[in-house]
Amino acid sequence: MGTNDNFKRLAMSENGFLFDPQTGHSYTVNEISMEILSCLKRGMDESGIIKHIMDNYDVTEDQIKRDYNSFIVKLKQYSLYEETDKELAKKFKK
Amino acid sequence: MAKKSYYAPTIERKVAGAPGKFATSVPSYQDNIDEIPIKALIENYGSPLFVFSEKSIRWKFKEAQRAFSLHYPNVKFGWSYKTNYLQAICATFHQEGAWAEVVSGMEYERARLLGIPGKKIIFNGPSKTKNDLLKAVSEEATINIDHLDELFLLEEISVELGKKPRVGVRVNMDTGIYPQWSRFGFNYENREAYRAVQRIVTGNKLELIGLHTHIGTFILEPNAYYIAAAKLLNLAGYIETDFGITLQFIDLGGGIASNNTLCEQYLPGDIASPNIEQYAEAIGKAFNESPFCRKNQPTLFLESGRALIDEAGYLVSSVIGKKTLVDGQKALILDAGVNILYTSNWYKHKFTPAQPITGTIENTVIYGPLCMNIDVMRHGIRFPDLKIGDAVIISPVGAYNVTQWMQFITYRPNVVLITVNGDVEIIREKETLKDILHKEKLPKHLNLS
Amino acid sequence: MTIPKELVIAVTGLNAGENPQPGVPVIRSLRKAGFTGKIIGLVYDSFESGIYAPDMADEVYEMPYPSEGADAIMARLEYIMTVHTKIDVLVPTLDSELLPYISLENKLKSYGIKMYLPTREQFMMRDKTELGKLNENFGILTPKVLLINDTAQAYKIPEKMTLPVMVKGRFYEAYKAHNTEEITKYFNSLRAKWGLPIIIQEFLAGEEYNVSAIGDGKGNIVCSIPIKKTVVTEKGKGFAAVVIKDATLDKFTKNIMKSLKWRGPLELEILKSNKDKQYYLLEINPRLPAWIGLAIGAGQNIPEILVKLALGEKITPLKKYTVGKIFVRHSEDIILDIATMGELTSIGELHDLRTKPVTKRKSKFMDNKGG
Ligand SMILES: Cc1ncc(COP(=O)(O)O)c(C=O)c1O
Repeated sequence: MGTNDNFKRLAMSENGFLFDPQTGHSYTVNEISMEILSCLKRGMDESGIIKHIMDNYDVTEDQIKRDYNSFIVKLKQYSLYEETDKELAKKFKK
Repeated sequence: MAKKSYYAPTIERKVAGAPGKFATSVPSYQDNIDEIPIKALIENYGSPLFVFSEKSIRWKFKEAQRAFSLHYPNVKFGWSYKTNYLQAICATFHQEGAWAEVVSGMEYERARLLGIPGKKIIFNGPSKTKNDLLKAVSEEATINIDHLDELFLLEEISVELGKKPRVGVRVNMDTGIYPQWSRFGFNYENREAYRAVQRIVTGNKLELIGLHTHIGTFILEPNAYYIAAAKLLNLAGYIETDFGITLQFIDLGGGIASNNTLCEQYLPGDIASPNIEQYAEAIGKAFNESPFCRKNQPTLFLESGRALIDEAGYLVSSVIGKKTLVDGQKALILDAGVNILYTSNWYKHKFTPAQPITGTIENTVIYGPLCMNIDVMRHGIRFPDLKIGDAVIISPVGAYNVTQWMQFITYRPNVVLITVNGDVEIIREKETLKDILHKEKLPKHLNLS
Repeated sequence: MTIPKELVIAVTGLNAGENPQPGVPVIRSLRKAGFTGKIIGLVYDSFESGIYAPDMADEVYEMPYPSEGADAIMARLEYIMTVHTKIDVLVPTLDSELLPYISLENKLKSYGIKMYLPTREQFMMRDKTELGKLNENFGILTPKVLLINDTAQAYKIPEKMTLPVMVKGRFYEAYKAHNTEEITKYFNSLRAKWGLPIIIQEFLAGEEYNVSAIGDGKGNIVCSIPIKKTVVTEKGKGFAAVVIKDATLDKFTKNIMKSLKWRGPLELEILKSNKDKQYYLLEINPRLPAWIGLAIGAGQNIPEILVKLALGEKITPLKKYTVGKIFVRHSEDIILDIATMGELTSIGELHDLRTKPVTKRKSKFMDNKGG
């Protein structure tokens, strides 16, 4: 399957503006999205990212998990993220 | 270190010419209605919840009364029951001095039950039955005749009771607005209305006391009322000269727009809708120009419904779910659906979060809880991200919803009134399974237990 | 006297591309009048090209759409005033903004923001759906108009008017339709954008003229420039025009001002009919036109006068202007870094635009992978 790192090429500005130099699309994101994208760029996995957000923000695990997943759904819709075979396999084993 | 406040992550693709972040308002929140916290309302009365403000009903009524009497003092309102016939609402209007305007036997009964005498009831509509009319005639209600068959029926009743029904003739006409309501009453332009009057006079079994029209609803053009009033007054003049009958009232019906926003409108209703003064001025102008008026000072009846009650009603609802649709749009699922917010068919209601907003503003579709594709409360609005359990206030919803709502898959919610003193009173209790089963009958052979 | 440089003037409508708005020439005119103070642009999206043009606004702020209502606009202005800058004069330049701003007039006045606008009644009188009444009430000739609310009515138009007809949206856009199919096509697209009713206007063949003028609210003209558009794009936008003089046209304009007692700026669209050689009023746009730059070329700085009137200055009516001045619209590409536009997109404002032109700004991406 494809790579999961299209988001890596996004240029991000401090105030939440993203530019994809390959497709020419641009996006706006909020602070939490910026945090998650930076984590993804650094190669962190879902549980690491969720912990990172919970350590820094006032949010329950339940809430962030839900929000994280719908955020990933959006990244996929914009073709900025795809799960690798390995990740998919891991998911379905559970 | 204290943790930072959290809101859900979002990402939106920017398209050339698409609205910027601020192009749509960051809606402010409203956490109370008449100083009663929304939170407390939900805790005590559940969600969804219809909330009416007695203060705004009374204020609006006084406003309207003042606006019209400024131009023409002999004005009287008849409360349009169909717009909202909860007893508490009707009683409030009656306390303010309104008569009752009813369009069915059931509404007539409601008005009588509240203690309104027949003499203060205006009976309209195309569906009056013989029984309804027998009662209305004997109690001396004002009956506005919709069609010829009703006229004949009334003549029959007149003979039967030995009592002359007090009637008006409902007139329809071209006032330049669209659609022209021509299915009720007798037409002005083709002289059908004049002939109906002629018929009444020759029959000599009815007491003709007025003319009535209701030109349509949510009329954004005050001048249409000027035309309507001028035409009725002109006809009244002819009735006086041709038949020697001096009419006592001119009834211009309802139809004045509330501050709601029609789906077809670009600017929001609070800017686009004329204010009540403009309607009053247009009608007043026709009355003050009319020689018939100068001579006889007939009563001006108004049957305004939505303009008087819409803004006094709110629907409080809570978020029960969120999802991202395949096109990337956000969706909120509320616990109130189109079955109790019938007016979402033609209005873009205002949706206001009931708690401070933290989340990002996104394109959002707002759904109700019905398992039906049509259950869309509001298409694509810019709306902040809310949490499950957060409340929103939908407004204005005071007109037509609590009469046209449907019971469907669950119970219709509590309706409360915040009184002038700041008390909260239930004016219609949430339904129970018992209420709904109450009228059902299970044939013996289908009894499973 | 020039406008004091301590004042801050806000101007809306900075698009100068395919769909030109008046904001850019308004700002240019104010600068040409010698105004060196702060001008802020109030915009709706980051693609309004005037934001990025050199020597335009000092700051720009994204605003809520007029459809969000007066409260939303007020809230945004309050933010701008408390956090960033005072505003002394506000010049709305778009049709759809006017009702909200008219409804805010008193409130803005209490904040020290002055405008020079028509009244709500005047604004309503010139609504495309009402224009025909000017004929009844004041004898101002207007083309016949039908309002339609559904496509069934569209099919009946040939019974009531000769084709072709003009199909118009309530706020913007107009198309010539030759048959009912075209009428319904435009009906549907206009309805989706601007709501109902759709205006069907009798098509009159003839010469079209435009007048930009300001009325003093008492029936007098403060200044006025008549033009003939010489290049009109497919969308009906004038891309070249010449200043003219025609005594009958002047009289027609005078009569309109006298009848309406118009206060504020307006643009008249007037047609001299081929058939009867009479002048017909096609439209009153309740604002300055996008070609207002030509007025200053002809010797009347109409935007400057508008600001002065807003400030309460007494203006002696201007009568003279130079006939034969023309404008030719010229568009140019502005090159800048996407991150600059991104800044506006994400925070809704841009600052120091005159002192630090966008064309010279460096990319602001945190990790410079965008290159
Ligand atoms: C006869 C009559 N009167 C009054 C009304 C109230 O109308 P509105 O709520 O538009 O004021 C109606 C509504 O249809 C009506 O039919």
